[in-house]
Amino acid sequence: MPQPHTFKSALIEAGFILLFASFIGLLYSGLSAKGLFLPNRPDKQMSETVPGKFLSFDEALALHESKRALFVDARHHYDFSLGHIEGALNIPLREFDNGVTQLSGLAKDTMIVTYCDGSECNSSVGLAAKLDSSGYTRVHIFFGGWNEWLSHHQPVKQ
Amino acid sequence: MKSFAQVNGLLLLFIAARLLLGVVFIIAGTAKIADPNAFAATIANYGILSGMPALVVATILPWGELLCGVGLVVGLFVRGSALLTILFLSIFTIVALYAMMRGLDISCGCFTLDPLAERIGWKKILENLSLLGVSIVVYRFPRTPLSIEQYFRNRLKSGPEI
Repeated sequence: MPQPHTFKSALIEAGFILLFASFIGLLYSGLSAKGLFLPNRPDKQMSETVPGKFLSFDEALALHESKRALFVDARHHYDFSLGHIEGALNIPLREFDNGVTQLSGLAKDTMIVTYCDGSECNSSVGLAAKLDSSGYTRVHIFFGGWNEWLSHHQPVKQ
Repeated sequence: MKSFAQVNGLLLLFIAARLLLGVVFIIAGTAKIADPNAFAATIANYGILSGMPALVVATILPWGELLCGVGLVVGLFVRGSALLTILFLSIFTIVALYAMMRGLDISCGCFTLDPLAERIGWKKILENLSLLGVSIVVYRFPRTPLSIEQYFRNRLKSGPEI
Protein backbone atom coordinates (compact mmCIF):
# COMPACT_ATOMS: atom_id res chain seq x y z
CA MET A 1 0.00 0.00 0.00
CA PRO A 2 2.34 2.76 -1.17
CA GLN A 3 1.40 6.21 0.11
CA PRO A 4 3.15 9.01 -1.75
CA HIS A 5 4.26 11.63 0.69
CA THR A 6 5.43 14.98 -0.50
CA PHE A 7 5.47 17.77 2.00
CA LYS A 8 5.53 20.45 -0.69
CA SER A 9 2.23 19.47 -2.28
CA ALA A 10 0.61 19.27 1.18
CA LEU A 11 1.90 22.75 1.94
CA ILE A 12 0.46 24.12 -1.30
CA GLU A 13 -2.91 22.51 -0.55
CA ALA A 14 -2.86 23.89 3.00
CA GLY A 15 -2.04 27.37 1.70
CA PHE A 16 -4.92 27.16 -0.75
CA ILE A 17 -7.34 26.11 2.02
CA LEU A 18 -6.20 28.98 4.26
CA LEU A 19 -6.53 31.48 1.43
CA PHE A 20 -10.01 30.23 0.62
CA ALA A 21 -10.96 30.29 4.34
CA SER A 22 -9.79 33.92 4.58
CA PHE A 23 -11.81 34.82 1.52
CA ILE A 24 -15.05 33.21 2.74
CA GLY A 25 -14.50 34.47 6.29
CA LEU A 26 -14.13 38.06 5.14
CA LEU A 27 -17.01 37.69 2.70
CA TYR A 28 -19.29 36.26 5.41
CA SER A 29 -18.17 38.93 7.86
CA GLY A 30 -18.86 41.66 5.29
CA LEU A 31 -22.23 40.33 4.15
CA SER A 32 -23.52 39.61 7.65
CA ALA A 33 -22.02 42.81 9.12
CA LYS A 34 -20.50 40.76 11.93
CA GLY A 35 -16.99 40.47 13.27
CA LEU A 36 -14.61 42.84 11.51
CA PHE A 37 -17.47 44.65 9.81
CA LEU A 38 -19.79 45.04 12.79
CA PRO A 39 -20.92 48.66 12.52
CA ASN A 40 -20.33 50.91 15.52
CA ARG A 41 -19.29 48.08 17.74
CA PRO A 42 -18.91 49.47 21.28
CA ASP A 43 -16.15 47.06 22.09
CA LYS A 44 -14.28 45.55 19.20
CA GLN A 45 -14.09 42.12 20.78
CA MET A 46 -17.45 41.61 22.36
CA SER A 47 -20.41 39.67 21.12
CA GLU A 48 -23.57 41.46 20.24
CA THR A 49 -25.42 38.47 21.66
CA VAL A 50 -24.27 39.37 25.17
CA PRO A 51 -26.95 41.26 27.08
CA GLY A 52 -26.44 44.79 28.34
CA LYS A 53 -23.29 46.70 27.70
CA PHE A 54 -19.68 46.56 28.73
CA LEU A 55 -18.99 49.28 31.26
CA SER A 56 -15.74 51.17 31.44
CA PHE A 57 -14.19 51.69 34.85
CA ASP A 58 -15.57 55.25 35.03
CA GLU A 59 -19.10 54.11 34.20
CA ALA A 60 -18.92 51.33 36.78
CA LEU A 61 -17.55 53.73 39.38
CA ALA A 62 -20.33 56.25 38.70
CA LEU A 63 -22.97 53.54 39.16
CA HIS A 64 -21.29 52.34 42.34
CA GLU A 65 -20.99 55.79 43.87
CA SER A 66 -24.56 56.74 43.06
CA LYS A 67 -25.71 53.34 44.36
CA ARG A 68 -27.90 52.98 41.28
CA ALA A 69 -26.75 49.45 40.53
CA LEU A 70 -26.33 46.22 42.41
CA PHE A 71 -22.86 44.74 41.87
CA VAL A 72 -22.71 40.96 41.58
CA ASP A 73 -19.39 39.10 41.85
CA ALA A 74 -19.15 36.01 39.61
CA ARG A 75 -15.97 34.63 41.22
CA HIS A 76 -15.66 31.69 43.59
CA HIS A 77 -16.67 32.12 47.25
CA TYR A 78 -13.04 31.93 48.34
CA ASP A 79 -11.91 34.78 46.07
CA PHE A 80 -14.94 36.78 47.15
CA SER A 81 -14.09 36.26 50.82
CA LEU A 82 -10.58 37.62 50.24
CA GLY A 83 -11.98 40.88 48.97
CA HIS A 84 -14.70 42.27 46.75
CA ILE A 85 -16.29 45.51 45.58
CA GLU A 86 -18.07 47.07 48.51
CA GLY A 87 -21.76 46.14 48.62
CA ALA A 88 -21.44 43.37 46.06
CA LEU A 89 -23.28 40.06 46.27
CA ASN A 90 -21.57 36.81 45.36
CA ILE A 91 -23.12 34.48 42.77
CA PRO A 92 -20.41 32.14 41.46
CA LEU A 93 -21.26 31.22 37.91
CA ARG A 94 -21.11 27.48 38.58
CA GLU A 95 -23.55 27.79 41.47
CA PHE A 96 -25.93 30.09 39.69
CA ASP A 97 -29.13 28.21 40.53
CA ASN A 98 -28.44 28.37 44.28
CA GLY A 99 -26.87 31.82 44.24
CA VAL A 100 -29.60 33.54 42.29
CA THR A 101 -32.03 33.00 45.19
CA GLN A 102 -30.25 35.93 46.88
CA LEU A 103 -31.90 38.14 44.29
CA SER A 104 -35.45 36.92 44.99
CA GLY A 105 -37.61 39.87 45.92
CA LEU A 106 -35.52 42.16 43.75
CA ALA A 107 -37.40 43.98 40.96
CA LYS A 108 -36.54 42.53 37.56
CA ASP A 109 -35.65 45.97 36.23
CA THR A 110 -33.04 46.61 38.93
CA MET A 111 -29.76 47.60 37.36
CA ILE A 112 -27.20 44.84 37.92
CA VAL A 113 -23.48 45.02 37.18
CA THR A 114 -21.59 41.72 36.98
CA TYR A 115 -17.84 41.36 37.30
CA CYS A 116 -15.14 38.74 37.85
CA ASP A 117 -11.34 39.03 38.02
CA GLY A 118 -11.04 41.00 34.83
CA SER A 119 -9.99 40.41 31.29
CA GLU A 120 -8.55 37.00 32.21
CA CYS A 121 -11.96 35.53 33.06
CA ASN A 122 -15.28 35.45 31.32
CA SER A 123 -17.64 34.41 34.09
CA SER A 124 -18.93 38.01 34.34
CA VAL A 125 -20.22 37.64 30.77
CA GLY A 126 -21.65 34.20 31.54
CA LEU A 127 -23.35 35.46 34.69
CA ALA A 128 -24.85 38.42 32.80
CA ALA A 129 -26.23 36.05 30.17
CA LYS A 130 -27.78 33.84 32.89
CA LEU A 131 -29.31 36.80 34.71
CA ASP A 132 -30.66 38.06 31.41
CA SER A 133 -32.34 34.74 30.69
CA SER A 134 -33.73 34.73 34.26
CA GLY A 135 -35.66 37.86 33.35
CA TYR A 136 -33.45 40.65 34.66
CA THR A 137 -33.71 43.37 32.07
CA ARG A 138 -30.89 45.77 32.96
CA VAL A 139 -27.76 43.70 33.35
CA HIS A 140 -24.38 45.20 32.48
CA ILE A 141 -20.84 43.87 32.64
CA PHE A 142 -17.87 45.56 34.26
CA PHE A 143 -15.30 43.63 32.25
CA GLY A 144 -12.27 45.27 33.87
CA GLY A 145 -13.50 43.56 37.03
CA TRP A 146 -11.80 43.14 40.35
CA ASN A 147 -8.29 43.80 39.03
CA GLU A 148 -9.19 47.13 37.48
CA TRP A 149 -11.18 48.10 40.57
CA LEU A 150 -8.19 47.35 42.83
CA SER A 151 -5.78 49.18 40.58
CA HIS A 152 -7.84 52.35 41.06
CA HIS A 153 -7.90 51.90 44.87
CA GLN A 154 -11.66 51.93 45.01
CA PRO A 155 -13.70 50.88 48.07
CA VAL A 156 -13.35 47.20 48.83
CA LYS A 157 -14.73 44.94 51.50
CA GLN A 158 -12.54 42.21 53.02
CA MET B 1 3.53 -9.86 2.49
CA LYS B 2 0.39 -8.66 4.18
CA SER B 3 -2.81 -10.59 3.86
CA PHE B 4 -5.88 -9.18 2.12
CA ALA B 5 -7.69 -8.92 5.47
CA GLN B 6 -4.80 -7.01 7.06
CA VAL B 7 -4.66 -4.52 4.20
CA ASN B 8 -8.42 -4.02 4.30
CA GLY B 9 -8.39 -3.65 8.07
CA LEU B 10 -5.75 -0.96 7.85
CA LEU B 11 -7.62 0.80 5.07
CA LEU B 12 -10.78 0.84 7.17
CA LEU B 13 -8.77 2.32 10.02
CA PHE B 14 -7.38 5.07 7.80
CA ILE B 15 -10.83 5.86 6.38
CA ALA B 16 -12.27 5.99 9.90
CA ALA B 17 -9.45 8.30 11.03
CA ARG B 18 -10.05 10.65 8.11
CA LEU B 19 -13.82 10.75 8.63
CA LEU B 20 -13.54 11.17 12.41
CA LEU B 21 -11.10 14.05 12.10
CA GLY B 22 -13.26 15.64 9.40
CA VAL B 23 -16.45 15.47 11.43
CA VAL B 24 -14.73 16.87 14.54
CA PHE B 25 -13.41 19.85 12.57
CA ILE B 26 -16.76 20.46 10.87
CA ILE B 27 -18.44 20.61 14.29
CA ALA B 28 -15.70 22.84 15.72
CA GLY B 29 -15.82 25.22 12.77
CA THR B 30 -19.59 25.59 12.46
CA ALA B 31 -19.98 26.22 16.21
CA LYS B 32 -17.89 29.37 15.92
CA ILE B 33 -18.71 30.73 12.48
CA ALA B 34 -21.96 32.45 13.38
CA ASP B 35 -20.55 34.89 15.95
CA PRO B 36 -16.99 36.08 15.28
CA ASN B 37 -17.30 38.68 18.03
CA ALA B 38 -18.06 36.12 20.72
CA PHE B 39 -15.20 33.94 19.46
CA ALA B 40 -12.84 36.95 19.48
CA ALA B 41 -13.79 37.53 23.13
CA THR B 42 -12.99 33.88 23.90
CA ILE B 43 -9.62 34.24 22.14
CA ALA B 44 -8.91 37.44 24.08
CA ASN B 45 -9.48 35.57 27.36
CA TYR B 46 -6.32 33.58 26.68
CA GLY B 47 -4.42 36.83 27.06
CA ILE B 48 -2.27 36.33 23.95
CA LEU B 49 -4.23 38.17 21.26
CA SER B 50 -6.79 40.89 21.68
CA GLY B 51 -8.57 43.57 19.68
CA MET B 52 -8.17 43.49 15.93
CA PRO B 53 -5.74 40.52 15.69
CA ALA B 54 -8.15 38.39 17.78
CA LEU B 55 -11.01 39.44 15.53
CA VAL B 56 -9.06 38.53 12.37
CA VAL B 57 -8.30 35.06 13.77
CA ALA B 58 -11.96 34.71 14.86
CA THR B 59 -13.09 35.60 11.34
CA ILE B 60 -10.80 33.18 9.49
CA LEU B 61 -10.02 30.24 11.82
CA PRO B 62 -13.56 28.73 12.01
CA TRP B 63 -13.79 28.72 8.20
CA GLY B 64 -10.36 27.11 8.02
CA GLU B 65 -11.54 24.42 10.42
CA LEU B 66 -14.75 23.89 8.46
CA LEU B 67 -12.98 23.66 5.08
CA CYS B 68 -10.44 21.18 6.48
CA GLY B 69 -13.30 19.14 7.93
CA VAL B 70 -15.24 19.07 4.67
CA GLY B 71 -12.05 18.30 2.72
CA LEU B 72 -11.30 15.35 4.97
CA VAL B 73 -14.84 13.96 4.86
CA VAL B 74 -15.26 14.17 1.09
CA GLY B 75 -11.62 13.33 0.42
CA LEU B 76 -10.40 16.47 -1.30
CA PHE B 77 -7.04 18.09 -0.46
CA VAL B 78 -6.68 15.42 2.20
CA ARG B 79 -2.98 15.90 2.78
CA GLY B 80 -3.25 19.69 2.97
CA SER B 81 -6.22 19.47 5.32
CA ALA B 82 -4.42 17.00 7.55
CA LEU B 83 -1.34 19.25 7.61
CA LEU B 84 -3.52 22.17 8.71
CA THR B 85 -5.25 20.11 11.42
CA ILE B 86 -1.80 19.16 12.72
CA LEU B 87 -0.87 22.85 12.79
CA PHE B 88 -4.16 23.92 14.42
CA LEU B 89 -4.10 21.19 17.08
CA SER B 90 -0.45 21.89 17.93
CA ILE B 91 -1.22 25.58 18.42
CA PHE B 92 -4.40 24.82 20.43
CA THR B 93 -2.46 22.47 22.71
CA ILE B 94 0.38 24.93 23.33
CA VAL B 95 -2.06 27.78 23.99
CA ALA B 96 -4.14 25.62 26.36
CA LEU B 97 -1.01 24.57 28.27
CA TYR B 98 0.08 28.20 28.48
CA ALA B 99 -3.35 29.19 29.83
CA MET B 100 -3.21 26.41 32.42
CA MET B 101 0.30 27.42 33.48
CA ARG B 102 -0.95 30.92 34.13
CA GLY B 103 -3.87 29.53 36.11
CA LEU B 104 -6.54 30.99 33.84
CA ASP B 105 -10.04 29.70 34.49
CA ILE B 106 -11.50 30.22 31.03
CA SER B 107 -13.63 28.34 28.56
CA CYS B 108 -11.88 26.60 25.71
CA GLY B 109 -13.92 27.94 22.80
CA CYS B 110 -13.35 24.66 20.99
CA PHE B 111 -16.83 23.32 20.19
CA THR B 112 -19.06 25.97 21.72
CA LEU B 113 -18.88 29.63 22.63
CA ASP B 114 -20.89 29.06 25.82
CA PRO B 115 -18.71 30.62 28.54
CA LEU B 116 -19.82 27.94 31.02
CA ALA B 117 -18.86 24.93 28.96
CA GLU B 118 -15.54 23.22 28.20
CA ARG B 119 -13.09 24.67 30.68
CA ILE B 120 -9.42 24.44 29.82
CA GLY B 121 -7.81 21.49 31.60
CA TRP B 122 -5.87 18.25 31.25
CA LYS B 123 -8.91 16.57 29.69
CA LYS B 124 -8.84 19.14 26.89
CA ILE B 125 -5.08 18.68 26.41
CA LEU B 126 -5.51 14.90 26.16
CA GLU B 127 -8.37 15.36 23.70
CA ASN B 128 -6.17 17.61 21.55
CA LEU B 129 -3.22 15.23 21.67
CA SER B 130 -5.42 12.27 20.65
CA LEU B 131 -6.74 14.24 17.70
CA LEU B 132 -3.19 15.24 16.86
CA GLY B 133 -2.32 11.54 16.68
CA VAL B 134 -5.26 10.93 14.35
CA SER B 135 -4.16 13.91 12.18
CA ILE B 136 -0.68 12.48 11.81
CA VAL B 137 -2.11 9.12 10.73
CA VAL B 138 -4.32 10.85 8.14
CA TYR B 139 -1.41 12.97 6.90
CA ARG B 140 0.80 9.93 6.59
CA PHE B 141 -1.84 7.81 4.83
CA PRO B 142 -4.03 10.20 2.82
CA ARG B 143 -4.87 7.89 -0.04
CA THR B 144 -7.91 5.94 0.99
CA PRO B 145 -11.05 4.83 -0.86
CA LEU B 146 -14.34 6.69 -0.45
CA SER B 147 -12.72 9.97 -1.41
CA ILE B 148 -13.02 12.33 -4.37
CA GLU B 149 -9.24 12.38 -4.91
CA GLN B 150 -9.12 8.61 -5.06
CA TYR B 151 -12.11 8.44 -7.38
CA PHE B 152 -10.37 10.62 -9.95
CA ARG B 153 -7.07 8.87 -9.43
CA ASN B 154 -8.77 5.57 -10.21
CA ARG B 155 -10.44 6.98 -13.30
CA LEU B 156 -7.14 8.31 -14.62
CA LYS B 157 -5.43 5.02 -14.17
CA SER B 158 -6.63 1.65 -15.29
CA GLY B 159 -7.18 0.24 -11.84
CA PRO B 160 -7.20 1.24 -8.20
CA GLU B 161 -3.78 2.17 -6.95
CA ILE B 162 -4.12 1.03 -3.37
